[in-house]
Amino acid sequence: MATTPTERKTFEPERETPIRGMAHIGKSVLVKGELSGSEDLYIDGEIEGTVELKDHNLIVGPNGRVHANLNAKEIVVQGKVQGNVRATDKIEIRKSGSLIGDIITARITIEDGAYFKGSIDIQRPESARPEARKAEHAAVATPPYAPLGGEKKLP
Amino acid sequence: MTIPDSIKKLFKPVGGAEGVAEVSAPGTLRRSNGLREFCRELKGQQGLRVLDLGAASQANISFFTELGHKVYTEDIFPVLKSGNYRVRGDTGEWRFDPEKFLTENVNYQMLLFDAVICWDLFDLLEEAAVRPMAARLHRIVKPGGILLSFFHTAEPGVSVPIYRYRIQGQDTLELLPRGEHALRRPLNNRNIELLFKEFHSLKFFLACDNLREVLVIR
Repeated sequence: MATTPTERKTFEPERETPIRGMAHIGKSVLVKGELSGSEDLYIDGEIEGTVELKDHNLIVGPNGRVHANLNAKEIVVQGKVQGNVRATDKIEIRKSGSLIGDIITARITIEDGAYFKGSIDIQRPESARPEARKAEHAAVATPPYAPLGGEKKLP
Repeated sequence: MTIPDSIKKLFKPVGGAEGVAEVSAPGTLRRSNGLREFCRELKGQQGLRVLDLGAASQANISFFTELGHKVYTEDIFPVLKSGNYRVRGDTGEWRFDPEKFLTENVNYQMLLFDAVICWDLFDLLEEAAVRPMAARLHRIVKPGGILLSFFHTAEPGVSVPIYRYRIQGQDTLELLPRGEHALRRPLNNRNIELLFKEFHSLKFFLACDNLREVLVIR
């Protein structure tokens, strides 16, 4: 059966394991500091700091524990994330995922059972630019979102 | 014809739920006059801050963001279920610590909301946290802002369902069970009026499924 490119997208498998060719941080790895790159990244380990991928995708795997502000094109959360998140295209929080922090994105998907605490600001690409730049700056310049019980930064 | 599991896995679920079983098992649809009034109050406005104190829901987030609002979500149920706020009192008995609870939850400091949906949060709260929670909500809702809250009308001690409330339309909710809970206290209209006495006004909506809906104006 012939499929159009759009149809093919629908058949995209669940990304629970790293995709071949994607940079991978394994579950025993701990990284502290600024993480930036120009390729897709799969995090199954522990990250503290910031993650800056701009036009690339980020997957936080089921074992991933991220205490960082994230900036990427598309972000999938299957593990635990604590930090402000900016995804220019889309963010998905899977059933096993937990995100505590503020989100700026164009599209969002939250599965039933996922835990999310924070705000969601939907910014479409055409209207997002000035705000997005501001958010991008904030995501890098401010410390990660305060944990439960911590004090939240006010806008 | 049955579809093998290996093929089912390849499909992305609709509506955010993972797994075919969850997608094909929708909750109960329920009309909500409180929600209708709530939406009417928001009509014609954009860029409002809306706080949803229920389970994070794709439907609710989409509903409000498509109206141009900014959504905040904080699910109190797992927090209450965790038992983290029980402390031992002077006489050795366990009690709920509302101060610690409200330091770590629904703590938005100077941030003010135009609209808050509590769902049936008050029915789940320990007695000691009920009035402090009402005071906290009074603090975080803007003057003129609105708050929608549900109260079960069953007798105390009776087990009532706890739901995930999904907004399916301006006056329609989908109720998905997420557990049961013994109702702690009877809150009749007078009790609810007293609870929100610092607010400007209240409007009650009694439904046939023993769920009282209250729209509160700050």
